[in-house]
Amino acid sequence: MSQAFSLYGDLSVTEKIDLYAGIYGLRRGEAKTRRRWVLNMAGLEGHEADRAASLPMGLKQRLALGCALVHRPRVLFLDEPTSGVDPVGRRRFWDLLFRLSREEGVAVLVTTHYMSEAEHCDRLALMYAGRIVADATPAEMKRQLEVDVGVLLELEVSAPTRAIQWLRAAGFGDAALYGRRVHVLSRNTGPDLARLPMLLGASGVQVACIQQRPLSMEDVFVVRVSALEALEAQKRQGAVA
Amino acid sequence: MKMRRVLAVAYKEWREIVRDRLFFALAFVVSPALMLIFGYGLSLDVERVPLAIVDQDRSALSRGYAYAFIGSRYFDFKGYAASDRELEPLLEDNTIRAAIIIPPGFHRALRAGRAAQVQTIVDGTIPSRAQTTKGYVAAINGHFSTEMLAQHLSRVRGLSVDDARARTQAVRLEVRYLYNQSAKSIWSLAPKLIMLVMIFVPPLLTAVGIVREKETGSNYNIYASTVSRGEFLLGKLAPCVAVAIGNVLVLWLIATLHYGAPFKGNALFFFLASVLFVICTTGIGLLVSLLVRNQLAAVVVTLVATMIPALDYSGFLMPVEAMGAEGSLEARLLPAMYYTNIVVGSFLKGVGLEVLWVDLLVLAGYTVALFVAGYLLFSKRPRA
Amino acid sequence: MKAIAGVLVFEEGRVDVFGIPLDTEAACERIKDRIGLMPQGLGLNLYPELSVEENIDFFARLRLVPEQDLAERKTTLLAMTRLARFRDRPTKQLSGGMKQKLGLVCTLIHEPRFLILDEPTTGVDPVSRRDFWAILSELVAERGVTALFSTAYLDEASRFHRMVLMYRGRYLAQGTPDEVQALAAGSTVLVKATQQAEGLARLRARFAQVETLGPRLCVFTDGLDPGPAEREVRQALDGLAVDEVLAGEADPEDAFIAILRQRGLLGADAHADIAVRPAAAARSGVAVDASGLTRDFGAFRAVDAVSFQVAEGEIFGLLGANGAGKTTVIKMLTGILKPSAGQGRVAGADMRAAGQGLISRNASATCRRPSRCTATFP
Repeated sequence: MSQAFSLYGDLSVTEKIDLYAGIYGLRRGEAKTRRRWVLNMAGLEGHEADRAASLPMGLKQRLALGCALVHRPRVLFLDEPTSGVDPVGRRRFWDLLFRLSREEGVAVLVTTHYMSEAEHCDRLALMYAGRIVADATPAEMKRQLEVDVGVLLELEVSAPTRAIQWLRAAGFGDAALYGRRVHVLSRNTGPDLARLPMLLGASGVQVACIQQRPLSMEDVFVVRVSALEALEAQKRQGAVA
Repeated sequence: MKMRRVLAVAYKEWREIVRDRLFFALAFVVSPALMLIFGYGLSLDVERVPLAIVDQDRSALSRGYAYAFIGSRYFDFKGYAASDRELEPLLEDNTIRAAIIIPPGFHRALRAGRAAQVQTIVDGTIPSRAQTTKGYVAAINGHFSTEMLAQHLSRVRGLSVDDARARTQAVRLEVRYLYNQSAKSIWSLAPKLIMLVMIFVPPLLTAVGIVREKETGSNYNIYASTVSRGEFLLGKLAPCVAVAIGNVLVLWLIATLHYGAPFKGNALFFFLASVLFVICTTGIGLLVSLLVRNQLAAVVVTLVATMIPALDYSGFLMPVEAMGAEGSLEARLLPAMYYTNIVVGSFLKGVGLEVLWVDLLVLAGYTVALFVAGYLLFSKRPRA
Repeated sequence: MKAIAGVLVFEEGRVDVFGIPLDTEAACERIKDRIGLMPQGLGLNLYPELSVEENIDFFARLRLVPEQDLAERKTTLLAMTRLARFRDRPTKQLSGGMKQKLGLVCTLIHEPRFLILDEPTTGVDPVSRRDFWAILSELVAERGVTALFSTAYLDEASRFHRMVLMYRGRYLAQGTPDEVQALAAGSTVLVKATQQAEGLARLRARFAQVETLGPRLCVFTDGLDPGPAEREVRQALDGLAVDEVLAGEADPEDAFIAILRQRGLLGADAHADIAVRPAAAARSGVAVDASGLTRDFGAFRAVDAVSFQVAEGEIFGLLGANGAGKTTVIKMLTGILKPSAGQGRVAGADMRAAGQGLISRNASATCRRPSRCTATFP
C-alpha cells in the first residue's frame, strides 16, 4: 500500500478493513474474525463508524497496519510507518509491532529515521549509497563503534556552542550538540573525565556534570554515515584533482 | 503589475508543460488525436448501405431493376437471398440494413401495362439513416419507373427515347448545394470539430495545471509571496493560451489539408476570433480550477461543463433552429454555439466580421465575465 | 502556521505579525514580503521538472530579488547546503534530505525576516537533520532571522529558544525548553535487568511510565531528582540481577508523555502490556532472504549487491539516509520492482518467479512516499 491508503479517506474504519479483506480474497467468515482482530489490535474499538480521514495521525497509522495484516501475512514490510507521528502514537505503534513479532511470529522489515525506534529492532542493517555497510544487532553496532571511536561522554555545560568550538579545536572533531548537552567521543575515558572539565573551565566554560553514557543508535548512525560521506567527498576531490 | 514576476511564472509554467510527459501529451497530442478520432468516427453520410435482394421473378426486367440498386454508390450489394425468410437473421445481425423483394409476376405486370409492386425493408433502428435510405430507394425506383414510362411512350407514340424522356419529366429539379457542393458531411464536420476540441482541451490543460499545484502544495509558494492575483493569473494562463493557439493552427491544417474542407472566409478574422475563443475557454478552465480540489475532479467537471453541452447545444450535430424552446435557450447561453457559427461561416460560407460581429461580441462578453469572476474568486488566503 | 503566514482563514482569535493584525486578505498581503513559508511535505512545494537552479531562480524572481543579488546569494546558499554540485539536476531526482535543503534555500532567497518552517525535518535521516539545524542556526545567528519551526521530533525541542507544545489541536504549554521540561519534573532512569519481563512487571507496579528500549527498561520517575530516582528504581527491582542503572535528566519525549499523562490526556492505554523481548530464542525459519540484490536505473546503481536475512518473528530495521536505497530494496522484495541482479526469497518464495498472489498472500507492505511510489535516488 502506498500513501494511496489515504485516498480512501471517505470510507469508515470498518469499510476500509472490509475493503482490504476483499482485496486479499478472504472469505466472509474469516473476514469477520479478522476485522474484529484488527479493531482490537489497533485499539480502534469505538471508532468503527468514523471516517478514516478524520482519525488522528497515530490511529490512522495503526489502521493502516491493521489493514496490512488482515490476511495474516508472515512477513511485514514497513517503510517509515511512523513518520510525523507524535511520541505517544509512535510508542503504541511499536507496542503493536512487538506483539506481532513475539506473539504471532510475523517477521517485520521496517525502515525508520527515528533512532530511538532503531533501538527496538532485533537486528539492524545500515545502508549507504545502495550498499549495506553494517549488519548486526543494535548492541553489537554500539560495541563496535565504541571500539572504533571511543566511549561517549556527556557534558552539561554553561555555554554549549563555545564548548563545542573549543573541543573541536582541541582535537575532539566529533563534538556535537545533543539537545542542550555536549556529546564527545573519548578514547581515554579515565583521563578525559578529569581533564576536560579543567580545560574547559580554563576557557570560561563551566562544566556542571560529565559522565559516561551508553552509545545510542543516533550516535552510531551519525558517526558511521558522516565518516562515509567524508570518505566519498575525499575521493571526489581526489578524482577531480 | 510587475512584468518580471509575470514572466517568471510564465517561464516556469512553460517549462513544466514541455518537460512533464503527461502535460506535454495533454498540450500537444490530445487535440490532433481527438480531431482525427472524431473525424473518422463520426460519419453522417449515408452511403454504401448494405443491401440484399430477393428476386422471385428472375426475368430480364427484374434483373434490370435489381442492377439499378446494385450499381448505385449508395448501396453495398451483399448478394441475392433465396427467400424473404432468409432476410430476417441477416437484418438482425446487421449484415444488411435494407432489402428489396421483387415478387413473381413483376415483368408480366409491367409488360401488360399494369403497376408492379416491390417490397422494401429498411432497418429502422436509426431513424435518420432509415429516412435517408428510404429516400434513396424511392429515388432509384422513381428513376426506373420514369424510364419504363419513357420507353413505353417512345414505342407507342413512335418518339425517340430522349423525346419521350423529356415528356415524362415535366419539371426537372436542379439542386445546388450551396457552401458544400458535394454535400460531404466531413466538410461540415471538420470545422465544427475545431470548436469541439478547442472548447475542451484548453480548459482541461488550465484546470489540471492549476489544481495540480493545490495537490502538491506548491500553490503556497504563490499565496505566501507578494505576487498579485493578476500577475499570477496572467503568468499562469498565458502559456496555456499560447499552446491553445498553436493547437488551433494545427487543427486548421488538419481540417483543410487532411479532410479537405474548403476555407472560403477571411483568415485573419478567423484567427483572431479563434484566439478570443481559446481565451474564453481558458477562462472556463480557471473557474473550474477554483471549484475543485483534485485533478480527477478537474477532468470530470471540465468534461461535463464543456464538451457535453457543446455536443448537444452548439449546432454541432443538430441545428439550433431544430431544437425546442429550452434547447434553443440553452444553446444561446453557452459560448459553443457562437464559435460554431464563426467556424462554419469562415470555412463554408465565406463570411466574416460583417455578418459574424454579433457572435464575436457575445464571445468577448463571455471572456470578460469569466475572467472577472475568476479574478474575484481567486484568493491567496483561502478557507481551506 | 498557515494562518500566521496569512494564507489560511481562521474563524476565531487574533494574530498579529509585525504589528499588523491579520484580519483581511489585504492586511496579510502587507506582511508577505517579509516572510518565507516552507509548507509541510519534503520538497512537495518544489517543481519536480525544474532543476535545482531553476527552482531557486523562480522563487527569487517571484520575490523580485535583483539579478545581481540573486547570483551572489545563490552561490553562498548552494555552498552552505552543499548542493552546488547538483545545480542542474531535476528536483525529482533529489533525495529527501536534499529536497529539504533546497526547500530551505528557496524560502531564504529573498532574505525574509521571519521564517515559517512546517515540519522541515520530518522524514529526514539524523545526519541531514543535523546538517539542516547547523545551517539554520548559522543563519539565525548571522542575520537575526526569526524562525517558527514545527517538529514531531521532541529531541529537537531542546534546540529552540522558546517552544509551544500542542496535542490534538490544543495548546498544552509554552516557555523555554527548561520551563516546559520543569512542568513534568522528574528523571529518566535506564535500567538493564537480566530478567526483563519480571523487571518490567515490578516497575510497572510502582511507576506509571515504563517503557522497553531495546534490552533496557526506561522509567520516568515523577517529581524525583536523579539520585532519589535511582534509589527508588533499585528498590523496586530488589532481588533481581541488575546490570546497569543510569539516572539522569528526563528525556524530552518522556517529559512530553509525562505532561500528557499528568493532565489525563492519554487515553485508556489498552496496550500498556508491551511484549518484552524474550532471550534470543532459536528461530528456525528464515522469513526474508536477500542475496546480491542489485537494481540499476540506467547508469545509476541504486542498490548494490545487498544481502541479508530476516528470521521468522524478528524485527529487522533497515537504516540509512534518504536515497540510500532502502525503499528500492523493499520494492524488490515485495515484487513491485524487478531486480537487475541477485535474488530475494520472501516466505520461501522467490519473488521474481512468484506470482503477485503468492507474495501478497504472505507479505504486506506500507510505503511512505506520497508520490506514485517511484524510487528516489541521490
